[in-house]
Amino acid sequence: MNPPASHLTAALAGNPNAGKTTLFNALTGARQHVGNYPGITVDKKVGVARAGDRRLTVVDLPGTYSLTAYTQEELVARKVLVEERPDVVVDVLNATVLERNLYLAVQLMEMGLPLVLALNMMDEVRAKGMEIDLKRLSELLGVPVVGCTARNSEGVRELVETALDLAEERRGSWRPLHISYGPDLDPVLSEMVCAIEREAFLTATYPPRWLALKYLEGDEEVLALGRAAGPLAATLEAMAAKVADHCQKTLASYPEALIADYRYGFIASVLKQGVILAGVRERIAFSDSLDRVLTHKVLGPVLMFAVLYGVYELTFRLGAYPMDWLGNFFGLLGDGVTALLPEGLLRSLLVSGVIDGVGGVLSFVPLILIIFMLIAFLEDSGYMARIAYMLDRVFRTFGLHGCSVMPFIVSGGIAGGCAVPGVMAARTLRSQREKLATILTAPFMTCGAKLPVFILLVGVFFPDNQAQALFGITLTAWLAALLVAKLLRATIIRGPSTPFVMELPPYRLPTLKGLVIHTWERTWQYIKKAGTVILAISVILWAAMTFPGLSAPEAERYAAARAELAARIEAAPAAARPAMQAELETLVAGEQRDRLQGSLAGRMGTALEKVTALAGFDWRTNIALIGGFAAKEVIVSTLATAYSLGEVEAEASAPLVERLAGDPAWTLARGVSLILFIMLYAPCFVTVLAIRQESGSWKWAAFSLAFNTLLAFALAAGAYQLVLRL
Amino acid sequence: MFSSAVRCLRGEKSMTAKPLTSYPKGSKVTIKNYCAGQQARCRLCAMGLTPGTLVEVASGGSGPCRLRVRGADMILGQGLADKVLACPCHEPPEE
Repeated sequence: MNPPASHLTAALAGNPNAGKTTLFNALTGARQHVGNYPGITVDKKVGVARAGDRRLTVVDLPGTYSLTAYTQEELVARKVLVEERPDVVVDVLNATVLERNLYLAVQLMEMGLPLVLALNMMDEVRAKGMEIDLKRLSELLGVPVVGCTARNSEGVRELVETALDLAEERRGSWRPLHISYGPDLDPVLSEMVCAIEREAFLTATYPPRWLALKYLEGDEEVLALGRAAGPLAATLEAMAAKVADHCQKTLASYPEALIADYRYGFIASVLKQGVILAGVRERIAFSDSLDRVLTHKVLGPVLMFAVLYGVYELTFRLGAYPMDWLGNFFGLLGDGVTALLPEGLLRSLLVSGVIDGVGGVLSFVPLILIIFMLIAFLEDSGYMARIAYMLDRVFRTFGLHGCSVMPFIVSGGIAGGCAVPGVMAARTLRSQREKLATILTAPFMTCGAKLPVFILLVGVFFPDNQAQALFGITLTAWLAALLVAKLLRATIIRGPSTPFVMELPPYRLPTLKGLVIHTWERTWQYIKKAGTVILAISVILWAAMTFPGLSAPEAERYAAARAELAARIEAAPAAARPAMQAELETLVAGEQRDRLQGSLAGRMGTALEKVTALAGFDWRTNIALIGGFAAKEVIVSTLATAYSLGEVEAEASAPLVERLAGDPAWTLARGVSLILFIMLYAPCFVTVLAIRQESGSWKWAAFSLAFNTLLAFALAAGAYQLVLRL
Repeated sequence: MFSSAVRCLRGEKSMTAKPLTSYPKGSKVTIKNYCAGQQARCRLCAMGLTPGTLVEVASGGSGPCRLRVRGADMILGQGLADKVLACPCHEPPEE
């Protein structure tokens, strides 16, 4: 069945660093839609390209070097090609390193889909003095070839037209290319193809020869598919094993190495036939001299830490202004609603539940916007790959990846970050296990919301060494994150580290368009979440801190006492009023405390007291910690309410410091245990949602809640008991 | 599994091929063989590190190994680079 011409679909394939994303942006402009490929967290981008009144739907495949089953990206790319059978495939190649990039093209040709080669970066080719005969390349390979420069949209229109023409001409038919794999493999390949064709084994989806090649390469996905499809699988596997053995004995090599060798041989023979007319094979000299400084043994790490620190400073300094504006806006909105509505549940719900909740969440948007802009810049410029390269050795010791440094630092590795953009920054990690370990441990860092809580506690327990204590907390957080990552990688996320193979792209100046599109799509995903799930959870938390509250007789008693006191103030002479006013405030604060204790969270806090006593927490602390799940700075205000101090701002907690410092129940043991607990326990729910988004499953989000809290409690209790006995 | 490892070790001796990590910065070497599993071998091949390929080692010492292969800069983790065996390229090929 051929879809109508207006609904032709193209898949955009290509190596990482071939400029695929830039070309996708040039093809589709802002008309793109970002989603996820089912089950994994590789972005799936779809957009529409136009040429005159013809339209081409473009699906951006993840960047891959080949079509084996080695990485998630490769599996996804292959799945789209085979299952969605696009009308045409556009393979984006970095024309300056044509040989390597043609490797994927050859594999696509072996599958036989209608293929157009887009030779990107033609401007760099010209700058290097290279000359490529596109017509000759097209003749030799038998596929259309279009030269283009995605950065300035050169050749993009021609590319769309060529792709549309080919799609209309081929009407979905596949024409696999046959390459000779030499005397050792060709005979067995023919034999396998014969057997596959005879039994029509999986031929509805795969070309026979391609299937046979995958058997020789030992492709795990194809092997599994084959076993499910029929008994021929066993025969094919036996044939492949025999060939492998033969290759080992006679050539001391492997079938997959031979296959790759012949593919490269095929490419070399094509290129030699007058495709590259004049060529300098060296890389851009500028990039090399830059690398001499940026990845220098001593200077490299120093500059890297400067850059990381710069990213952090820029994000939180620049972000502070719009965050303030947003905070003020939502504050005004809350005040407005407070003034308009009568006191009661509806007002409380709107102000404390909806406005505070969504406002709090949206106030992260500036941070996310800036951090993604900077990360996009580091990624697109090629520096991110160097960071991973320089730090890989250190982080690998803990089962992590060089790229883990960014999430850690942004989450608060330098105190005052935020775990929400931090967790989202883990997107640069391509290997699943390392990414999970990073996402789960990054929230241990001292984020900007935990900072006021720590400042409060440090003020109470270490009044003379506040700075040193805060620094110690930051170091402890790093230590905890790295050790727990190591623990997770040795247990639940066990498995060998994904072998580190990566290409270092030459340095390039990112395009503004690319940065903007990149940043916007990630931020928008976050905002959409804020409108739905986050609003719901915020309301639930509000309800837990409000209901059922005071019993009716108690509420009446307080109301009567307040009314009576108010009447007395009214009647009293002016000189006596301040004292009575203070009395009223104490009364109101007491009512708030009792209401909090009567709420669901309060009851939970009281019920948990028996257990949490092990770590030295009483019901007041428990409620505050439950409230901290909404946002960590809430711990301060909730503690204040629980201590009947009325309204206390997180940033101005002096009265609370005095109150706690004077309380004999607040021993040093409790202080140490509480600091440890707050450092490690369940991330705030916005972070939990970010974890869900980045890990691709609720399972890991739930795990971070349960595991972090249990771990935090175990360590806090241990520390409490230890300090008590000292 | 076991037999391939033995074969691999034997191969290493007979061909005087050494792991990539044992070459100093600036060495030009020819890829000979791998001790890695099939998946990793496929990956290495796809990245252009097929047996017989001429590569230049661009970083020395421990840690990830930086290589220049077919016109591009590549990084191999130390674990993987240990499993890629290569000969100095002035030696004649031993096929």
